[in-house]
Amino acid sequence: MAEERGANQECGENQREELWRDHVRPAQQGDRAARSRLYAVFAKTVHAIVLAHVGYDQAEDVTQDVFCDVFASIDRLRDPQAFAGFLCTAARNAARDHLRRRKRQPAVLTSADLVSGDLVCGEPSPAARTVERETTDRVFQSLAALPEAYRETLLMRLVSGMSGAEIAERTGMTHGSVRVNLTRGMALLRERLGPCLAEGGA
Amino acid sequence: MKPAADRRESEYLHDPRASVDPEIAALEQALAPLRLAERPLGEAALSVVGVRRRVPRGWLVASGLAAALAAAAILMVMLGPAEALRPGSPVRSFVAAATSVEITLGDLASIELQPDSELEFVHWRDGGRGDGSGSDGSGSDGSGQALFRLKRGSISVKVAPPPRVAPGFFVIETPHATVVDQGCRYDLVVDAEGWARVFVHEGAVTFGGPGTFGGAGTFGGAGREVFVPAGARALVTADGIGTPTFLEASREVKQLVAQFDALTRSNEDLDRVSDRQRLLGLARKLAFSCREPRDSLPLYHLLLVASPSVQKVANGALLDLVGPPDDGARRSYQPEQWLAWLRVSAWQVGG
Repeated sequence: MAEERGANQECGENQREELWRDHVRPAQQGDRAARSRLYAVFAKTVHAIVLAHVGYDQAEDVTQDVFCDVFASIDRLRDPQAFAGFLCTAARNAARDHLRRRKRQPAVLTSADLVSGDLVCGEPSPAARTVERETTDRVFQSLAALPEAYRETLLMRLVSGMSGAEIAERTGMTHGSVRVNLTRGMALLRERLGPCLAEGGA
Repeated sequence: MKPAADRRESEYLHDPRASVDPEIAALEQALAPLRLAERPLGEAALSVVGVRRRVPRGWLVASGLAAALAAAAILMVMLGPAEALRPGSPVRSFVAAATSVEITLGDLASIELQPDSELEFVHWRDGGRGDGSGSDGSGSDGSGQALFRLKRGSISVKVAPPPRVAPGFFVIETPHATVVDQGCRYDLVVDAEGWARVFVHEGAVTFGGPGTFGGAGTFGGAGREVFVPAGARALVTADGIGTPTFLEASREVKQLVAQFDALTRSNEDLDRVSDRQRLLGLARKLAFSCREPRDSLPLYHLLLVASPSVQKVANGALLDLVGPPDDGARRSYQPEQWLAWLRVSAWQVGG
């Protein structure tokens, strides 16, 4: 587990590319370590895609479901290099299936969802926490209103902390497309958030 | 917000290593609560296999037999005989590189050390009631203790159930917790930082401090111990031991359990009234979310929290979910009474 957690921090970009492709074939054969390594590399990418569709309260569990579904069908993948795209498509399908099953609109994050000790929260005072939760709500709702491509890419950058190059490598998009999605998405987000963006932590 | 005329595309938007753009950094901070929590890939995804195509039955039988024979031949060549331990065997380390290693303790227990794993055998002290007739330890009565340390990697363990092997005979230490067998079959994985997770296939284990690093592995004081029955799993990190849940528990239950554990880890003493109130609130939410009898597993562990209010919530929820132990009256019961009842009712396989 620590190997997987440390993989992204320790490997350079080229090494990272080698890392995940080398583990697809073993993962197809049921190699648990290979599957764990693929999860370590792609978990944040999948989480951002799922977050873009189903909201915070279910995103983590749906993320785990995505990997379960993918590894159940990974023997269908003929080219390891296509794994990234295969995974991202599976994430979107899983998110949409989840919404269909729940038969309602994407969950919008509410302040109550953030009452958790394992979230990265701010100051200890209740008043400060309330402000932070409202800010998170506002930003997330603004993101939720963006077109899907911009929304997913921005979540990968702003929540998962991925660089444009990492987003391209992990999703199969071109660098140019990622750049456009981030730039245009950010412009639309600015319009929606307006002056709020500059007020003490968005 | 920057005026349109002054707005330049910030490189920080495309590369977090570039000079920080305060506007984008503010968005990152606002969205920080949504980040994916550090957690390992679930057991279901690690072990799932795809659906096989149907083949004619005759071919299936023939090909299956041929494959089994071939695999057995290959295994015999590659692995050789299992490593056999006996009472009094000296300390030794087992390292599995590319292939797994099987370690046997007579007919009492077997360990399969998975590839890329390291296990240290510490001792096997016989209880002394066996006749010791078996040179491989099979005459041992399983009443002493066999102690191992899993330094890294994963193992699958099978231990003969009582009365063949006494509960507590088989003990595995990991850096942050110790697994004590209660007569079962389980998988245990330890990573390079000492985080461990256990999944029990049959029987049960207790999973508790202090571990080989000597840490408490606890919350609420030293020595937290959790009970992990068959079909359930638990995770331990340097911060403490998580409350176990059954694999099929709902997402809501698992999430609330994680929140409860995080709150108790972050504040072991619960000195502040606000923290105690939050804890009680979480306990109530968890109790409300528990709708299946097997959700009683995390509820049982709430009985062990050092808070009478939380214990009361847990006791009430257990009464509603599984009924009073031994069909007794609706009242408060001790944790050990609940444990004995739940082990033979809701936590039974198929219960």
